[in-house]
Amino acid sequence: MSAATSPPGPDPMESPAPATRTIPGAVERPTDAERLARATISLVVEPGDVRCLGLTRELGGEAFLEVLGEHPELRAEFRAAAGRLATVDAERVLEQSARRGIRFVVPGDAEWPVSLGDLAGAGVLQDRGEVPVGLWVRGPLRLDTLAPSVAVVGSRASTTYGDQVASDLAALVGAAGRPVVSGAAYGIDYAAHRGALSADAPTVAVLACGADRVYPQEHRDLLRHLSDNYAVISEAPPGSSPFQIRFLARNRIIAALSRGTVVVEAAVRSGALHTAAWADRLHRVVMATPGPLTSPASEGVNLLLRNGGAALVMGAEDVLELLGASGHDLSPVRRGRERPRDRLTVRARQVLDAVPAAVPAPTRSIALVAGLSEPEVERLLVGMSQDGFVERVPSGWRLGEAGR
Amino acid sequence: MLVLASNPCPCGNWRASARTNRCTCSDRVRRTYQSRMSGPIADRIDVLRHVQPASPASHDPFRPAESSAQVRLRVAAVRQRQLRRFAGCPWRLNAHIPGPRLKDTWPVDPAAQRLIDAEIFSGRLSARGGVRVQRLAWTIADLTSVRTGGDVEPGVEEVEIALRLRMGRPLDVRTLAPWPDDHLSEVGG
Repeated sequence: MSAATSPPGPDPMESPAPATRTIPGAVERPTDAERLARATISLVVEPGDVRCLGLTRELGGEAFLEVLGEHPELRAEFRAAAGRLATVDAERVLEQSARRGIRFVVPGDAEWPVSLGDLAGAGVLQDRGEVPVGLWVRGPLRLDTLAPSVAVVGSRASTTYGDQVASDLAALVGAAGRPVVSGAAYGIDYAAHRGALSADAPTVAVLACGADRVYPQEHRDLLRHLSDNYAVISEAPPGSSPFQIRFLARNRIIAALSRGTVVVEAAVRSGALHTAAWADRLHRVVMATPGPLTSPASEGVNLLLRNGGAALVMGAEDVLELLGASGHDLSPVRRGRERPRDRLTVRARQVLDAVPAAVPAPTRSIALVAGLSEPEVERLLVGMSQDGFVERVPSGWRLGEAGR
Repeated sequence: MLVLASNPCPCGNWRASARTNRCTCSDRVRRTYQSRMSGPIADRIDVLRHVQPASPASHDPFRPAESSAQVRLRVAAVRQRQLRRFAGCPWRLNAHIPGPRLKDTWPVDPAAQRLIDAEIFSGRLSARGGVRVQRLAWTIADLTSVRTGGDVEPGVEEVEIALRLRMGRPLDVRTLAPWPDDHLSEVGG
């Protein structure tokens, strides 16, 4: 019922406002005050700060902000964040961001990706974790459309092999209707975004710096294209620098946003393996493409496969099969080309093996070599000669065109 | 310069994946086809690349391919360096340095030479191939010097690239990264 047609006065059908406190983090629409509180927290707390984000999730942004303002002495993390409170103006940041096309999406918003809720029980890796208080998003793509997405991540120092694998895989996964999530870094990330775009498929970048920043600089055109057509996402507020620890926090967002993570090329020390570890924590499907044993760029990903940390995928079809519902999107069976010879019975092949290629032999000697009786061999040879496997010449039998 | 191209098999439809392979040639036909290139000739090929059928996914809309004119400037600058280096010698290019001279006058960095030796000892590279890798490393070092303006010093990195180029192994994409526009002015000089 729209406002224009609703009767004046209190609507008898409307249930009274709940007397109990709302449960924060639940799927209720966030109030403006809650959004503002969460924006403030985003401005004073580092992405992935387990304690502060966890309390925000449990108490709600407004209540946590109260605690922060009144009892900064409770914990060291609180003191650092509380100290920054006076220096930030969330209202102004929200306003300025909106003018630059950046919105702040929080839990309860219609487009909030509910899959991020899994971070609540997923523990801590390298001191980072928990559900983000909100995400800063630049671009028209709604985050809830990322539910079926696939993360494609890998080494910055990729090889021509890895780039090709990543871009082909992203193109086919994207064409099959699954958005591609990555981090807009050099190497595999770039190839993954590029591949998805070649298939006109949605692809989003999750950055460690603010969604307004261009990092790395060389990817300016890619990031502009993504923010014009799809989305550039960050847990860190606009203006944030790409600090090292923010990459660690960022990787968990990539893993949590997507249904599965594919690692393409990763050296032994690679952030992509960290993303894979998060995907595993979150019970997402962890996948990897193997690389040459002679390539250091694939050593980490091969190790991940060796340790059973990921399912080996040979292409997009395998990814789609692993992410699809049981029995759906099955990868086509790979098999060698069937040769005419494969259709013969084992006994016929036994005879065929005994037929000489050049110098013809009589039935009796073929039977001797094949170890079968002469009448049976004669019968099989006549049958096979009709299909061109063998040919009869005056001095006996030899291989025909199909038998070679 | 000699450039050769070859199909993987006579019908030209062979692919590495059983899913996309539409080759109708028998294994014997494929072997015969590949052995038509004799070993001693194959051993004289310095750069071997396995190319894949062009796919739309390999297109990069954000980085336009370099024009031949841009590449030409770079090649000219590299040849200029070689001309200067070989002033007074009866040859002008890295490709023409006699093996013994390469060894005594223009060796690569000792650590880099050990990489080449390891490939020779393991049987993956012939002695002739080792010399050719060394020459190729010099050309790569010339290219690096054009890009950075630094000295021409064939070291581990250059030899690693040369080995990858020769043996058809994947290349680090940073090797292929587009050249910044400003290098052209330097090349012109």
